[in-house]
Amino acid sequence: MIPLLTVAGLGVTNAAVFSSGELDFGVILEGNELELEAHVVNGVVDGVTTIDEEVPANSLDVLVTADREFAAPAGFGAAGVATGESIWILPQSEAVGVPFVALASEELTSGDWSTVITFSLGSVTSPSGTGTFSMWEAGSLGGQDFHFSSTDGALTIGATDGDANTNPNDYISNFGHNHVNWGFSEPGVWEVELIATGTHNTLGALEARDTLNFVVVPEPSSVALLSLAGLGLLRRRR
Amino acid sequence: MRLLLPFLFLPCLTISGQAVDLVLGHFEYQIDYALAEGDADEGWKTWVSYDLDGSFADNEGVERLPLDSVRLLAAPSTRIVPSTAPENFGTSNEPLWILSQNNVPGELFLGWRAIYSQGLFQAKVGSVYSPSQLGSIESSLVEVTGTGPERGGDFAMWTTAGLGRLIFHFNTSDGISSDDLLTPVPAGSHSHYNWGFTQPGTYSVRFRNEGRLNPQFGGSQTQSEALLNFVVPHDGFLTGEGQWRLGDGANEVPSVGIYDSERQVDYAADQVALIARERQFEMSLADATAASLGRVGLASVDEIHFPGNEPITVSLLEQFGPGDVSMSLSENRHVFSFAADGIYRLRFQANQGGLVGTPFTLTFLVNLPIDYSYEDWAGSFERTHELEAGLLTDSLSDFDQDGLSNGLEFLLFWHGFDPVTVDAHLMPRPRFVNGRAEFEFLRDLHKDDFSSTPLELAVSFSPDLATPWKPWRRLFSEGAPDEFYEDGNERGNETSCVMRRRLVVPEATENFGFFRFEQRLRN
Repeated sequence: MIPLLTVAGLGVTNAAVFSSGELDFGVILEGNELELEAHVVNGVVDGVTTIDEEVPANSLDVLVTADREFAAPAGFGAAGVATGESIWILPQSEAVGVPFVALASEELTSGDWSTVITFSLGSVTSPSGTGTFSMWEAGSLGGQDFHFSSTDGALTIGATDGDANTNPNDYISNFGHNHVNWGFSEPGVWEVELIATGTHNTLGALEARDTLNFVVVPEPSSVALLSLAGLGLLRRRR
Repeated sequence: MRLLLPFLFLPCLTISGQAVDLVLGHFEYQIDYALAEGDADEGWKTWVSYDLDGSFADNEGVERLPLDSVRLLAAPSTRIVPSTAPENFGTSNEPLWILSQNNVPGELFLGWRAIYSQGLFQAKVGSVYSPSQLGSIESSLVEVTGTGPERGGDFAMWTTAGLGRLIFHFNTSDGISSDDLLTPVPAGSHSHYNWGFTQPGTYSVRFRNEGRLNPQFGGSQTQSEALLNFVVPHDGFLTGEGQWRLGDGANEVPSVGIYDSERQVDYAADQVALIARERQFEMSLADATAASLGRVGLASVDEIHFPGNEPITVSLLEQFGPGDVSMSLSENRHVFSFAADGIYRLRFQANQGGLVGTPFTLTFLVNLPIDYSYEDWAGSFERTHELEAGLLTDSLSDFDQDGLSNGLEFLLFWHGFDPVTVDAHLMPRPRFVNGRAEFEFLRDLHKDDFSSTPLELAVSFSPDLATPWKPWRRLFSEGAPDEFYEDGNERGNETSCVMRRRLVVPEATENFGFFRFEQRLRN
């Protein structure tokens, strides 16, 4: 597959590139099926300002630019990085020119459901195969409440993540939409499987799953090296 | 277990002009700007908004409420006591109340939204404006007033970044200056912040929204101010000691409040718990000149005046609880001593010459926290009535067969209910007020916090018992204003976690209608 776009030397798929603005990954009820979708609230897709467009969740490459690289403080083990190591973050708070990504279940009618909607983390493919994808909320007075970690043993099944649910790699969505921090431990192309579950009053237990695509851009000095391996970064379009 | 209550015909009183209390749910401080002919400043509109479909992700269904029509309340769960406070806000080991930037169930989730056409405003770098298609507006803090600041309380709004760093946009701790600025506020932006307060009370927060129009739109500098009203409820309890406040009530009958000298607030007797940790609680007489900044459950000074014409005496009429109570006088302090742990009600009456006041009840929690459990409550009443342990364990049963389940009597405790006594007559009476059926009650947010506590108070309404029951909306934003919703209905200028609420049915007729109260087990 030949990439249609190149972002800072990284090969990407023929998916459209979401580079800034508000984007919600949310669940909708389509007929009797629960589905995941990407809702471009107000953002830039392939360089074009786009407002209120809904597209398949796996049809976008969400861009994480080089300026989103930070040195991790202590306490980021769940994000797969030690103190001082690099982590790339899409922030929970809106910043100009940066994707502002939420998880949403607001398009469902709460009264039709006997449970809240739970987002869970499925399989994660990192650029090197050993990277860590993570998702967390920042506490009001600092600190982090990690909900997803693709590698941290403390967040494996059987542990808890503080949200009163037995599955630690989950996130409860009470028919609203919540912005969170999205963390990547290395540059490159990421595939993150997201699973949404809930019990409908008449349709019973429903599940939706899809793959979210993120492209994390390294600093310019490392772009050249990665470009050499560009073909290796190409992914199969789902 | 359910209770049906037809409402009564009462003369039309007045439509309350008070603001709707918002205590949970997703709302926005919303700034709209549209070009206006003539004065550019006329183009600004500011609101508190919510969305009928629960989604702020699009512009559909957004309902805008005038700022002066709402009060923004901090739920009890927003109160935290940090061991280490932020360097520039609050004090370590002292409480803070924070409306979180995260969407926490049972709390207010207040965002900041701006709707205007991109390309209207110039861009600003430093203090220099330049024409731009990507320009924006900014917001600054003008002043913060109210009983919270009068108690020395501070207000701040900040972001916690992904790595945990706190980025303050507004903070009164060091005064208000040009540093108290939120910029830029881009077109179409929707962000959530932490809103912090360091004292209970009211906070009227005035913001200025400002921008410079692009040359093709006149190029003028334009601004507008907006006032947001926040309320941080008092705890609703005193620990160890309190003070009597004696005064003249309506028709000059003697009246009594309970005074918290630390917070400088007067409570109505039926909206405050007195916690006796060592089985003792001390009451002293408030200094007649003691300052009071707030009243919880007490009407204005026109109706209850402190201090009253002394001497006023207070007599104990009866006591009720799981053990004996003794009262002694020590250095002008009344010391209440309790023989056993549990919940006590002591009934008093104020007397002044030949005038006697309306009897009132003080609630003592002896070695119980304010958020005591249903099990604590059931055990206390079992011991009080010398029942076999466990007879009140089932919250769904109705031990005294008065039509109110045990759990419902627990949730409506502040009305004086006793699960072993037939007392359905204590239910407050519905009424019809200027086209709306209303039902006032006391909600204890320590017992039912809309989110995590095990029991939930649920109410529904039917105009005729044949029409299907219509559930009430826990919060205003869950339905349009013509829906059946719950609102605040405080007496006095402040609020505690034992809140006086009302259920409002706008579409009811004055002929008759029925409210149904239920307890639910929260999953």
